[in-house]
Amino acid sequence: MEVIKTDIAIVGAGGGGLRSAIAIAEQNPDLSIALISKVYPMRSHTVAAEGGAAAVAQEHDSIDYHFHDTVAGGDWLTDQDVVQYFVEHAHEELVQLEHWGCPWSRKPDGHVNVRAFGGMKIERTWFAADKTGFHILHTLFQTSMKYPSINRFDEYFSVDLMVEDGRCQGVVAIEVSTGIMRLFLAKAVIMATGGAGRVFRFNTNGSIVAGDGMGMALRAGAPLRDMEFVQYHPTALPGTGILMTEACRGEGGILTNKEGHRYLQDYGMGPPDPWPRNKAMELGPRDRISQAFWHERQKGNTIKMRYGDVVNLDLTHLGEKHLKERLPFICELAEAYEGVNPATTPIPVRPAVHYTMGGIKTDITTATPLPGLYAVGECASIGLHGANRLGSNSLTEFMVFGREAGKYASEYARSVDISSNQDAIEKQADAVEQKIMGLLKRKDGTEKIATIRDEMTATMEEGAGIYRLDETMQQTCDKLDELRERYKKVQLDDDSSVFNTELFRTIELESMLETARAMAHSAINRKESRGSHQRIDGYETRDDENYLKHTLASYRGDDAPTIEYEDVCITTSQPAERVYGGAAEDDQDK
Amino acid sequence: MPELTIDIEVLRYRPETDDEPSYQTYTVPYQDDWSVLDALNHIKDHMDGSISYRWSCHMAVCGSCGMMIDDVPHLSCKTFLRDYYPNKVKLDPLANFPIERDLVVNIEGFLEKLESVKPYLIHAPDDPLNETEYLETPAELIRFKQYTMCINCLLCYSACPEFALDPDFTGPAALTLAHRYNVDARDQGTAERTRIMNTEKGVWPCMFVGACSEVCPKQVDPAAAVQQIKVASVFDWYKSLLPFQDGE
Amino acid sequence: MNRKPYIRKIPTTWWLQNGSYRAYMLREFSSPFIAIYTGVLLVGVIRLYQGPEAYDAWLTALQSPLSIGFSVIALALALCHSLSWLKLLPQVMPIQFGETKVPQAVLVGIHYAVFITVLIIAIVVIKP
Ligand SMILES: Cc1cc2nc3c(=O)[nH]c(=O)nc-3n(C[C@H](O)[C@H](O)[C@H](O)COP(=O)(O)OP(=O)(O)OC[C@H]3O[C@@H](n4cnc5c(N)ncnc54)[C@H](O)[C@@H]3O)c2cc1C
Ligand code: FES
Repeated sequence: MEVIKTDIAIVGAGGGGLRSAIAIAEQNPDLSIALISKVYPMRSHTVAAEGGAAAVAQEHDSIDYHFHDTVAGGDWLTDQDVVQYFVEHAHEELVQLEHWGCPWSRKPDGHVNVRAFGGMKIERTWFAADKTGFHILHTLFQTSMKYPSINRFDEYFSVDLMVEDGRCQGVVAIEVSTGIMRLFLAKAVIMATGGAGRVFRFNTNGSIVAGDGMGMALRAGAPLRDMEFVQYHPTALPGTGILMTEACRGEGGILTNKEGHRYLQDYGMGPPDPWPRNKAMELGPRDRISQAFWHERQKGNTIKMRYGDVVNLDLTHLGEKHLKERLPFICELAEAYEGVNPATTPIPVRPAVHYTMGGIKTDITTATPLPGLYAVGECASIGLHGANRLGSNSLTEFMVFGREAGKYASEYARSVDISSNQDAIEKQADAVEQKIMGLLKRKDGTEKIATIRDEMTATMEEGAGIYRLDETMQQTCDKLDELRERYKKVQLDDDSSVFNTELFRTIELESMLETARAMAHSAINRKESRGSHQRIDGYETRDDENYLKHTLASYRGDDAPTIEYEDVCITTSQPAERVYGGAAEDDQDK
Repeated sequence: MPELTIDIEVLRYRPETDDEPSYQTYTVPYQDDWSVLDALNHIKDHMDGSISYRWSCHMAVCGSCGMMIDDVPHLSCKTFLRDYYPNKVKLDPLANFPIERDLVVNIEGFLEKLESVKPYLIHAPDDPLNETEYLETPAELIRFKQYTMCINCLLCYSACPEFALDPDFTGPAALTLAHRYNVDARDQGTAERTRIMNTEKGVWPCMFVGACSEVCPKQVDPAAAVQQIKVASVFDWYKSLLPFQDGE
Repeated sequence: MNRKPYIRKIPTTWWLQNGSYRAYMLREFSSPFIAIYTGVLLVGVIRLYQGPEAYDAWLTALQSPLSIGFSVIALALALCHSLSWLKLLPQVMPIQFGETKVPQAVLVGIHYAVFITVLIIAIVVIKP
């Protein structure tokens, strides 16, 4: 197999991968970087982020407030040292983006403007209209072209990590346009492959968001952490899952049920002021708002449509001019995909899976327990989001920790040599190649990938949705075991090597099944309710005594993943009740 | 009621077995809210797993899914069957690019062109970075904002007759992104970029047909950007004839 | 290499494929006519310089059916050419006041107004 030697291999060229690559290229221009991505960088799903990125920007705001919002928003399952580092460095990273050309929306005086976002006490979400992720991604991508040490391998699909001598030493990837497999021998590898939202039926994620990196890390022996915490975004279009950003509500949009009633006031998030009040009503955190939708549906207060139940996201009172200026993309999307003009008609929305809080376990330096392997962005669990992510923290996350990943991976790469045992690694790579050839050449398979995938997404929705029950979670675990077995008999229609997208969907499916399994087993073992993990089978409350702990899921082949727990880092904020609505203000003024 | 159906005619090309492309027709269920991409996904999932095309976001922002739909370049995720029904829909890979396989084209050349125009902010070496953000008024932002909206879907290249005749032409999207930085008040790299764009494969081959702007799904108006570069270049040229130049 | 990119041929009739190509070709096609007509006018100026007889001969020549036919065609094409430019002009020179870009339709409208005014002045003032 052809071998490409590089100092650092980065898998993934979304926000996290690009930020890491630039950090390395700026600080260590002599280190060679292989930036590997299964799609062209500008197609990465960071492109879809709409609302904005958080960093304290106003006089009357403070990093302590940002810290507290993030910790409480995560229901105290956040690592507070990580949160502290994050809030301290958020501002400089967003300014860095500005210096690279990001077209942030501005105030009349020329300073960057900020908007309100769910769960944030004070407006601190920087935005570029409602295409923030798009602009950040393109800014990073275009800026990355400046650095000669960044060698891009666009449309290279990574299959597996290479581990030898107890450390990660490279990655095997297939060149999509030829089907040729290449071994990237590296001193350090940074995983930046994004989330895994596609394991659920209703989601806001692109087709490429399939948990590849999580699957690769698991198989290589690195544990996944806090996988039971999956965020439902309360406002997605019913058929397509297209996101109607939280900024809609940040700008003053309201949610109403079939009676036109702002139902969130019935779930402890009032008072229903006519103006947006931070951390109240529609600006509550995502977990609470999605849960309220579930209750409304139980009560029969939702509206029935072709793709199930919806509520209304009403922006009509904001006026056409404001909408066109602040939410032009939302107007375009609602019009095209739902046939609705938001200036005159409320938009039908429903909750959809949006974000995976969990991921590959890392410490505050982005290092995973597997030496030589670093992880950043949505595929990682650095301990920032806890049990529920606050919107607009994750774009900033990959900026702040992308730089860290670049820094620490470089240090590590300088401390080790490229493997002396290349033969052993090549053997591993050949084994991976054999596995892939086996998939391609199989003639007696009986299963279709679409069938397995659809059954997987359905069972995840059923057992690991907004509310969870022991019984259905068990059914989901069992179903996933069955699907994993059936996956071994999958039959491809396409045995060619050029641009065989069916092959890539198949490899993704394997990682999705592993990721889904980690989620389901982590969930059934957490016998409490916290953040986005809500049970209605006798464990309705938070249990700090037993579960103020991170879940770790490790791979054991055909057997179910092992589940272990580790402590959460608490520095200054002791667990307390999460309060939103009017009560939140009294609480924080204390 | 019998299920309504619609025919999708797809140009297939499998380089390992085919000498040249040929059409294959699939009959799929018709749903009025389905995009062309939804129909393709239906084919791939339930009829023929071997058909290849690119897509990801399904929300018209990642720029992957461009193709010729009834001979006009469109994003397939934002083009709906209802606008063609009951007629068949004909799908070809983006025009003017080499076909890699089925509906997938080779866009490597675009990436090289983009890189060649230096699509990033250039500061003079002796210009220290501000501690905090550069001030930029909404008016200054609006001057270049439109040109930042390019999603690199390359529909414009498929519409451009100059690119059809000369694959080395830098082309609408890359030139537009260069212009985006030129008009950004924070940038100081205009002179460098102008030098690059004034070459034979730069702006001048553009004949101002304007088709690129017509097909652009994001109203970026690349034709405008390219003409503005030409005007600026001409002014630069006249200026260079003047005596007593200071600096560059 | 199993890769074998296929390059499609461009039909010689590519310029008939759609409206903007045809409009562009018409614009290009009109150029020689306009150039020839400019030549004719230039000859007129030279004739004028040569004296009244020469100028009268030139005027008579212009009245031949062939010449009238050509003038009509040239006029039509010149109109096409000018109008297509008026349509494109706002793209070349966008105008922005503060935070608002002047809409292209407004710019085109202004150009039309100026064009028509000049035309009227020309017809009224230069009337024989
Ligand atoms: C619709 C939507 C809106 C959002 N809005 C916001 C917001 O307003 N604010 C906010 O803070 N966050 C938002 N988020 C979340 C945020 O956008 C993501 O968490 C973040 O962009 C993730 O970045 P990333 O770099 O980790 O991953 P991605 O951008 O997803 O990049 C993953 C990269 O990995 C590559 N890759 C994956 N698998 C492989 C493989 N097998 N081989 C090779 N390469 C591979 C891909 O090609 C890609 O380049 C939003 C998310 C969505 C879905
Ligand atoms: S799939 Fe992303 S633009 Fe169509």
